[in-house]
Amino acid sequence: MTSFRPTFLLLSMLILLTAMYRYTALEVRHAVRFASALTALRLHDAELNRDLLLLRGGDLLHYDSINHAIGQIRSDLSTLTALPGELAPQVETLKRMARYKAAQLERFKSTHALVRNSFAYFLHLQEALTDEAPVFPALGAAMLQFMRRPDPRHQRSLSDLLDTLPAGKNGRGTHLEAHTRLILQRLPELEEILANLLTTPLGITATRIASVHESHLDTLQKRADRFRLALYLTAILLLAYLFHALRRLQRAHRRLGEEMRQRLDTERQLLQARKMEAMGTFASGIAHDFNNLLGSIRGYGVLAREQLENGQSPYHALSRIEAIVGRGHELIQRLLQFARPGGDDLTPLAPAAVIEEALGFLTPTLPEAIQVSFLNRLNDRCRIAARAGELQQVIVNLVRNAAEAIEGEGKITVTLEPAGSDTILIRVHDSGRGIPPSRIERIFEPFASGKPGGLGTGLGLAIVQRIVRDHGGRIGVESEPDRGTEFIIELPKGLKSCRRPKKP
Amino acid sequence: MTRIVVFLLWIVLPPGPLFSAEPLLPLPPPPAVSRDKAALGERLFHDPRLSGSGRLSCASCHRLESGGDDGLPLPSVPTGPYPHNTPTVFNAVFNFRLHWYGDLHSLQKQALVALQRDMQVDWMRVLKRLRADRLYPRLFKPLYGIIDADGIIDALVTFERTLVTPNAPIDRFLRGETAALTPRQRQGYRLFKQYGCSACHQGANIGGNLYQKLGIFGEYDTRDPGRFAITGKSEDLRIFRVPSLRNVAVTAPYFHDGRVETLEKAVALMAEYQLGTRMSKEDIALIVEFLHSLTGHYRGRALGDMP
Ligand code: HEC
Ligand code: HEC
Repeated sequence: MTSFRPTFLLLSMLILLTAMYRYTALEVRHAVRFASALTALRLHDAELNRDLLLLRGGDLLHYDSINHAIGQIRSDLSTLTALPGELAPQVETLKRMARYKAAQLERFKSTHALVRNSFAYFLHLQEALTDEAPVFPALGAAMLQFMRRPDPRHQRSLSDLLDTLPAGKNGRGTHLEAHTRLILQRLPELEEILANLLTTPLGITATRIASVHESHLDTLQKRADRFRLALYLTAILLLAYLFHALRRLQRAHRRLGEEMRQRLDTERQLLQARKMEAMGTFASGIAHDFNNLLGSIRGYGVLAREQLENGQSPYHALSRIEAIVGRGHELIQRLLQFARPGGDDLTPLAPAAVIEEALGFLTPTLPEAIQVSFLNRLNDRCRIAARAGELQQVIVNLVRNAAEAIEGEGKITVTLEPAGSDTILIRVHDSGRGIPPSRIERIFEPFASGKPGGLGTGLGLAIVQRIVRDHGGRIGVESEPDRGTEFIIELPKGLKSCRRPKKP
Repeated sequence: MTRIVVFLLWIVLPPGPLFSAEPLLPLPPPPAVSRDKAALGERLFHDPRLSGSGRLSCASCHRLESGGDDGLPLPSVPTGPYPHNTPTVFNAVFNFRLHWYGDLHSLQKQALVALQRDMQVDWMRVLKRLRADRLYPRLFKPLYGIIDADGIIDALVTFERTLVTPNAPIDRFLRGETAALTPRQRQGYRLFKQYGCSACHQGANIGGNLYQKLGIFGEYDTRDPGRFAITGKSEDLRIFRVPSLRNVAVTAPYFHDGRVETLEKAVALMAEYQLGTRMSKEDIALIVEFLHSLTGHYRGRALGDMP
């Protein structure tokens, strides 16, 4: 499966969901706000109407609360207007009604204040004058009727009484008359305004719009439900995809593990094969050594026989032979040790000795023009935890690679030196052609060998790296084309310090 | 018999409110606003550079250390065909409409009118000056970004919202602290309600929440047409917004034309023209004493009592 499909899938899903969110969620939010503004409007209208009745009954003595209510109605309406919707014409109707109501409200307040203040004054005067003439109590009774219901009949009886009113002391009767006339004139008007206010069907219209809106909200809610369902399905889909991807990942992981194991197996086998290969390389050197030994043995054998024939004691020659055989035995021992498959425990050993020995085997097999030198900067007590055979294998591989990198004359230097407090470094430097930068990164990968024409197994450096890691060390390489290459191995040292004491 | 009828009348009829309703309400707590904006607004309120002449600030006509007005019958500079006495800015936020005609709905619109009509603002120059100022750009930046007309007006309005005067004796009285008013003031309050003043001057701001005709009983002598100047409707002739009576004791002179110098005269005129009655000197004195109980506190001091 290519990476294009999941990306495409996710992208299209993202677009789809965003679009759905923008349209559906926003719409629902607006619709809900619309509904709540409508409800608020109805409540505020009811509040306004209640306060109007309280004012009319004299149970509320200020206009703050109706001003507040109409202010609220205005702001509810501006909320409604600000929200988009198909109900704009209906909202316009509401606004018209509210405007009408607000205008009537101002009339109501002004007229009401007049009536109320005249009425207060009426009571005040009427009480003061009540004993002066019987017409005053009668006037009070008529006013009572009129205030209760300001119809023409009560209006007439009240105004009839007014015509018979005496002037009273300090013109108070005149004042009473003025206020009574004001009430006579203004109360019917107030009633009319009140009726206008109470019958303006603001609340009812809002209720009707609310019920229309309810069904709209219903459809939106259904759409929102569908959106939720879509979300749910999307989530399921994503989950399934996730599950599938996980499964694939798991399988890939298992396959990779299997492959890794196989590789390690072959690597181990190849490691052994490589040893054998190295053995082959040694064989010529060893054969050469053995030849020399055998030549010496033969020489001493001939000498011993001649001495016997001459009646001389062959003791010296024989002991030479014994010594030479001893050396042959030693040679064989080492060879066997080298060829033994790994798996030994790490043992403390002197790195210098091991390296010297490996170089001893190797040097005779290298071309004459290559000069190999060994520099030991460690002290004599230095020990590291290692497997001698493997360490030798590392040196052999690196030195052989170095030799191959040299065309014609050249120098290989192996250096052993302390580094830091608890590591030693093995440097293998050659003056060869160097490794091109393009290859240097992959140099430790199996089959990345720079050897032309399938020489070797192509595992040399990979095996070196394995061994170094098995020893808890690190290996790095620095190379300059046409100048040479240096492999640097860092190995943990054993218990003893490897640093040479400072020269005085 | 007559006494019984009167008694019945008293029982049955309003105003014997079912629950003892008061026409006056204590001043609500000041609206919560941004302190920084209010501080900036205060600076602007006192800054004459806002005016075209460079000599007039809001505070020139609305002196906060006295009653929030200018103490003059009419402002020293002409303000339209029917010049009006400067009302106080204190508690203006609680008025349902602004100006004597009550033709402005919001403090924002009022501030714009004040700047343009009363102060002859030259916006280009003002903005240039304020932007070049050492202080203003730093004050505006975190609140409004750049300095512009909207920011200036918003800051001014924010400051005006803090110009409220709570804790007048009447507020404490209405909250149940009877002793906050002297016995004579309490008597004055009773008269205020009895005479019917509280029919028009009521609510939290003791007025400022309805329109009313000036001269209901008899024509008041003024050439000002009232709201008619705005609406052109004959029924609006001589109609004004009923002013708030809060702090009225420290905002002389009175009435829209500022022709009335003393409270006693104002009350007598009110009684005559609004109530159709002639009040005794004693009643006037009592009511005036009551009106003195409407003076509230600003920044911890009684209004008009500033250094
Ligand atoms: C030249 C004097 C003058 C200046 C300067 C002035 N005002 Fe006024 N202000 C008045 C007058 C006069 C009125 C009443 C106008 C009317 O009713 O027609 C008024 C009314 C008001 C009101 C309404 C009060 C109410 O209860 O109706 C407010 C608020 C106000 N001014 C704020 C301001 C602000 C803010 C500024 C500065 C930007 C300002 N004024 C500058 C003279 C002035
Ligand atoms: C019918 C309504 C009404 C009644 C009742 C009424 N007033 Fe007024 N009052 C007004 C109006 C309107 C004005 C504004 C006058 C103007 O435009 O100059 C006013 C103004 C005033 C002022 C001057 C305020 C100022 O800042 O200039 C005072 C003081 C006052 N009234 C006190 C009283 C008293 C005391 C009573 C009772 C005796 C009373 N009023 C009754 C409507 C009324």
